[in-house]
Amino acid sequence: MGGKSKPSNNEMVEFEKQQAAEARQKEAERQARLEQGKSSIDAIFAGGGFDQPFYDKYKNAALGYQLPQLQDQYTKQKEQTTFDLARAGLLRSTAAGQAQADIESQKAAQEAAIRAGADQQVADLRKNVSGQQSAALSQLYATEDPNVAANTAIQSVQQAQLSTPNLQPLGELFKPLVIGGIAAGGGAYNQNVANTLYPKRPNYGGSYSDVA
Amino acid sequence: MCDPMSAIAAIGAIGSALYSYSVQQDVMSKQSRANADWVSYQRRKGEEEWARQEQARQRADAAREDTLNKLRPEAQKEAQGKEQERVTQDITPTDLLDQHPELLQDKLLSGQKGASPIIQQDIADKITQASRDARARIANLATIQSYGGSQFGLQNRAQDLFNQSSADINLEGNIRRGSLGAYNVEKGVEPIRYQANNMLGGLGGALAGIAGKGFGGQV
Repeated sequence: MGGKSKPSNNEMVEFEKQQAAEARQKEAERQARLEQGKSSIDAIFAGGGFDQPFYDKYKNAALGYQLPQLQDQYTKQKEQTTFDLARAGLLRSTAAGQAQADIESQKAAQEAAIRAGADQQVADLRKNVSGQQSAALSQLYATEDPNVAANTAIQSVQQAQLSTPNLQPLGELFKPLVIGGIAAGGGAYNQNVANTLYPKRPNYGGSYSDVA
Repeated sequence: MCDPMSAIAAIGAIGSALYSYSVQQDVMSKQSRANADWVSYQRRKGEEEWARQEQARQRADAAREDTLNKLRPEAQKEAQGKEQERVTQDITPTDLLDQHPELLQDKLLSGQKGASPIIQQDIADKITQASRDARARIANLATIQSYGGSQFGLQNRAQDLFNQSSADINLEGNIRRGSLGAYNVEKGVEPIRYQANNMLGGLGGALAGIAGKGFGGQV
């Protein structure tokens, strides 16, 4: 028959049984170490150590970097629009209201985008921490089993890289309004409203003030 | 009277049997000692290998534990705080007016230098406020960086730590695999096999046959 014939006296058989028992015992110890190591890693990464304030600090920093830039641009745009409207004599017109509504709308959209971006960055941070947990587990398995390469640990972290946040100062966030156009359009609009409210009498060539 | 040849053959056969028994005993004794030696060798090699494996495993585990300790939340938060300070210092311009009011003259536009103190103070207040705002934003930028991609930011730090411990674990894993390979060769060593080689056994059998025939003829 194939294979090596084994010595088979009692002492040798006993020795082999003893070896088998020791192997079983060592395997039990190995499994216990794995379970204990996994519990320890889970406690570190999923046990609340990386708490909400840890993530909030990151999010608030992202918002604190970008929102003031938005606020600056918003303030400047409002001032500029005010000046332009005043120069066009439309400060108290419906067109002025439209211009302001447009600015507010743009600001709301930009702010929502910035907040969504910050939230996305926090999600990436959470993925990164989760990647660290996977890497730590891979290292645990590699420590207990020499046939498992520890390189998988590095890959786990690499796969969970933080997406690079936008660190550049924000560009022009507000579309400049053409107040000259507003002046023209606004004038026509105001005239139309006035005509509706105070229709000219056909046989009277007076002004609105005459009507009033 | 018995045939003398048969008697001699019988005596020869008995002598041969006794000799064979003695040879068998000797072989069994030698085989038993060889087996005991083999068991002792295998036990010693097994214990040595176990010790080597365990030492290498413990070294790998120490590297792993070291990394794990440095990745604990409190350690990472502390590292992030230090990195935030470092980056803040590193990227904050040194000529911001809120910290250095003496630089006001450098900040004024050329036409403003002869302006009245009231106007200059108003300009100074505005620039100072702008410096404070810029400082706050720069601090936020430093915080963002310290979580991620700055030199010692959390992400790079974690990567470095895993790189170091992975190198150690891989080294120990390699040592363990090599040692295990050598141990498998040691495990393949078999005990010496003794075989009884009784040259007189055949002669004894022939003599026993002759004696049997002689005694059988008389009956």
